[in-house]
This record gives sequence, C-alpha cells and structure tokens, in this order.
Amino acid sequence: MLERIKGQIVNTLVEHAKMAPADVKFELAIEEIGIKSVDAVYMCGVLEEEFGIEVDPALIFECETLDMFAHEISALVIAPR
Amino acid sequence: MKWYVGLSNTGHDPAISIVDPDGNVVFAEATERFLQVKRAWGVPPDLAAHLKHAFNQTSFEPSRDQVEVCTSWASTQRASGRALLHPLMGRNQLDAIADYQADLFDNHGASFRLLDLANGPVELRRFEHHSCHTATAVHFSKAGDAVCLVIDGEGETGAVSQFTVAGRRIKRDWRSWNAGASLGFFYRWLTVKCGFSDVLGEEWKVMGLAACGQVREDLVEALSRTLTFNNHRPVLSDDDVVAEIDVQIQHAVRGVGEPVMQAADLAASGQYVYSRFADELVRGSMEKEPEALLLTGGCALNSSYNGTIQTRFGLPSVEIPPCPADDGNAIGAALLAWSVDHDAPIPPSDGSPYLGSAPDQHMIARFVRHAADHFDVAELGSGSAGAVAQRLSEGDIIGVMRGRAEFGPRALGHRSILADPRRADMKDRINKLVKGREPYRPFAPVVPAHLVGEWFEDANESPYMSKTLKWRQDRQALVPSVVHADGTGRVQTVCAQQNAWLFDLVMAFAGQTGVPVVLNTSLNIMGKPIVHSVEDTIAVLMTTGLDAVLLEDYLIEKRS
Repeated sequence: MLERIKGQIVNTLVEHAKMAPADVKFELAIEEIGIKSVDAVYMCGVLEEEFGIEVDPALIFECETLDMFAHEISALVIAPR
Repeated sequence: MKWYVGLSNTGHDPAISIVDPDGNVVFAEATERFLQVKRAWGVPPDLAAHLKHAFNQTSFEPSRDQVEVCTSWASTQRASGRALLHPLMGRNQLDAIADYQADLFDNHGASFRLLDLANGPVELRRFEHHSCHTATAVHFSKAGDAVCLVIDGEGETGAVSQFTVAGRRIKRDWRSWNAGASLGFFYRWLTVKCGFSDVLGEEWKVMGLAACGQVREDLVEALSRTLTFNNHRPVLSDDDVVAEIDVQIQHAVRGVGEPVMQAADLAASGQYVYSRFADELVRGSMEKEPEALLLTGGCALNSSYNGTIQTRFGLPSVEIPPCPADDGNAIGAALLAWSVDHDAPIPPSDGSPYLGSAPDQHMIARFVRHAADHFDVAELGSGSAGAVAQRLSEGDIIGVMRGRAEFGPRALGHRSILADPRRADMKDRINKLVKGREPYRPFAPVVPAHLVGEWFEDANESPYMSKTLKWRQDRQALVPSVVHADGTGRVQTVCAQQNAWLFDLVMAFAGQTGVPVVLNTSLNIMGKPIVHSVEDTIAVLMTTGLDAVLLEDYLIEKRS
C-alpha cells in the first residue's frame, strides 16, 4: 500500500506541479523539495479521493518529511472505518 | 441537560444559535442585527452581550443545564495552509479574514465564563465548514433523501463540496481541494469590477444590475477562462491567465463613483458565466439522480440562478435554506454536535425561519404610553392583517415589526416594509421616501404558494425568497412595481401553516383588490442591517417617509 501511495504522490506532483520524478525526494521536507503549499494541499485531495479516506488539510504541513506523510496516509487507508 | 451553542466563526457574518436538549433550534441570530453593523467583520459570534441576550430568549437554566460550544470551522486558514494569495482577491482582505479567524479560535469561551455559563476553559467542538452548511440545509429541507451541493467562497480544503443525504444523515461524496477555484470569489471579484463593495457584501447589486445589461460574447469568453472543470471539480486558471482576463475586461470595468449602468453588460455577462460554472457542478450532482437537490453555501444566495434550475434540470425539487451563507452555519455546527451525541439524524425544522429575537414587549408598552403626544396609535388586535392590507391598498407604505425576527438575509414579513405592487410609481416612491436605493434594483413580491403558478412561469416553491422566477407575460402589467427589468421577480411564497399572518394579509389584499401579491422589502435604514430593536423601528419611521409601522398589533402613525 505504501508503494502505491508513494506512486500516487509522485504522479500528482509530476502532473500537477510539473516536477521531475527524480526531484520528488521522500527523505526531505516539502519546502526543501520545493512543493508550493497550494500543490501540497491539492495532493491531499487527490489522495483523499483516490483512497476514499478523510485527510486533514493540515496533515502534510505537520509531517517532517514526505516519507512521513506517505506513512500517515497509509495508516489512514489501513485503519478500520 | 445538555444545550448546544453554535457559533459561525469565519471572521465575517458571525452568528449564534442555541439548540435545546431535544434538538430543537430555539434561537438563531446574526451578530450584525444585534450590533446594527453590516456583516460585523471581526466581531466574535459569542459577544458577551449578544450571548446573554440569546440565552434570555430561551428556557436555559444555568443551575441545571450545561452548554456545549460548537464552531463552524475544523481548522483555521493558517493552520490548514490554504493559499492566502488569490489572483481574484486582494491580499489584504484574505489576510484580514485569516487573522480574524485565528483570534476567534483563540478567544472563544471567554464570554461563556464571564456569564457563568462555563467553569474553566471551554472545550470547543469544531465541525467541518461545509458539513455545517449541509446540516443547516438538511434541517430546513422537507426531503429526507437528497444530494446537497455546497457552493461557497471558501472551505476547509476548497470552495465546493457535495454530500449525499440519506434519512437526514449526511455523508460527503467529494470536496474540492483547489482552494482558489471558488465561484464565491469569482462573484466577489465581479462585484468589485462592477464598482461595488465586496466588504459590504454588495453582490446583490450585481445580480440586480445583470437584468439591465447585455450578455456580451467577448466578456463571456474572457470571464469563462477564470475556471475550468475536471470531473465537475472546479480548477482555478493560472495567474497569468487571470492577469490576461483582467486586461480583456478592463474596458467594461466600472470605477467607484462612475454611472452604475456602465457596469450593466459586465454584470449580465458575469451572471451568465456564473450560471455556466454552477451548471457544471449541478450536472455532476445529477449523476446521482437525486430526489431533491439542496443548494447551500454563500453562492446559494444567487436567486437569479436558483430560480432556473428545477425546470432546466428536470429536478423533482430544489430547496435552499433561509440562511445558506456563513451565518447559517451557527445552526449546522450545533445540530451536528447534537446529532453525534444522540447518534441521530439531523432533526428537521418546522419550516419557520423566524428564529431571532422577539420585539421587546416592555419597550412597546412604554412607547405606546409615551407616544400619544407625537403619534396616532391604534391597537388592531387580531384584525391587524386585514387592516394593514386595507391601508396598503390605499397606497400607504407600512413597516412591520411583528413576532420573532427572520434568520437569514431576507425580510420575510416579520421585519418588512410592505406596499401595493399595483401602483407603477410605488418603486420610485419607496426609494425616494424610505430606502434610497439605486433605481434599477427590484423589490420582491409575496404570493400565496397555491397561486404562484397563476402568476409565474415554471413556478415552484420559494418560501425563503431564494428563487427568482419569470412573471407570466399577462400578469406583469398588474404588478409593475415588483417586475424587474427582465420580467422576473424574487418571489416569497407563503402558506397558512408557516406564515399565517402574512398569508392572511396577502389574501385580504387579494379580497380587496383582486391581486394576491404584496410588495415586500426589508425594514432598515439605508446602509444598516435589518432593524433589531423597537427603537430601531421607530428610528426608521421618524427618519423616512414611511406612513406607519406595525409594532406587533399596534399601528403607529406620525401625526399629520
């Protein structure tokens, strides 16, 4: 699941924020990667719809790295609803 | 027992509601009414004086009851990282809203302690903004099952959401995550381009002006580029595209102080483009084949658009609550908390929008006692509807303050100015003597619900004056002062069950004149909110050319 989520994150940033796939570095913070807040928020929405979960719009700004964000999303997907 | 206080805390249009332990909305009022300051920007909805006033109108017992405090945002703009730069909005205004909101989040609760309604810190229960809009819409809806479309200026993640309503329980289908893609911001921007104030909420003026202009292809083409749609979700165009649009429409923009009609084509074209955008959203909702469509959010105040969709989309019904904008969320937040605590659906309303303050009976008695030197006072008793109808038919313009105030922006007969719509000069007279409004702006008609089809094409119910419908051609000449430039009227339909007094008045007027239509406009001084107190009402009488006011069943007239 985590890999699928990461794949979706990369696809969204490539398609929506016009980033190169190699620039999406999961070990870095979103500002270090150069993701604008508007694009970060948009990505939350893509994940919310794609995985049928409810994402707190502040979540991505509370995670120290993109990897931590992917793990948080994964936990939401796996959690019983 | 647990009571629920709902607070609308966007930073503009604050409001308060109180829900009793059984889930009844027993009070709801916008702060602007209490303060008599339009939109009350930055004022906390739990202003101590208003909070005290609100509880005084209920049977809440501090020694017995507890209060849950519920707010209409789950997170602040700053916390959620929503874009604070928007190509359609000035940075200052967005920053101001974010600052107001942050302050409100920090300080809710103090007034509850001041009034001994709480001991120690107040634990806020925060609800998602568009869920609050939806809960309010479901409360006022007759339909248990529906699709609810929230078209707003802002939201927790974006400005549009869609919910499925099943057995009065709500479940979100989707929400927009493109914060800038907002039909509300589009209309605000249009309002400024037409030379009106978005801070004062003058979107109404654009809607009214639209009927006076031509839809121009070049303007439509330019304005249509502000938003695109992806699977019915709105997407804001890039900054450079918006900058191009700015240049393309510049020739049609009206500066403040320039003649109003200069902006008529821009208003007409903008309203047309708004309708196309909103259609795209409604088409998405239609995929669920709803039994009823509930429309809410600030954009659901666009009565010109609302009036067209039931017929065009072949919907069984379209319902709009009396308070679709952010003030209405005070009700939604409190009802969501009640619903969670009782594991119950959103409780239904009896349909009454009259949830605000009642006139102060002591003040009326005092006024009547001391009025004899300056006013003629007649106690009309139970015959007041017929007596007022008679005076209207004779050409008088009469203010009404009767019963509890409406919740929502429209005067629906309890804080209204009423007049005879058959007189061609009535619109100009009211403008000259009382309202001082721009001459192009229309006045609204009240029509009995069972007769609306005889007067309007494609008629449907509009109990909260939220739909503009086309007058039947052969009826327009009978009521010239409530027919707008494009042959429409923003109608309020009334029935005996929900508006007994106003229904009786319209039927009495029909009995006297043969025309079951009365002109209804809000009772206020120009630039002020609708009246709140008895003193406000007397001030309108004394500073305008009103012929009389009805305070409950006392008719007060200036001595000639």
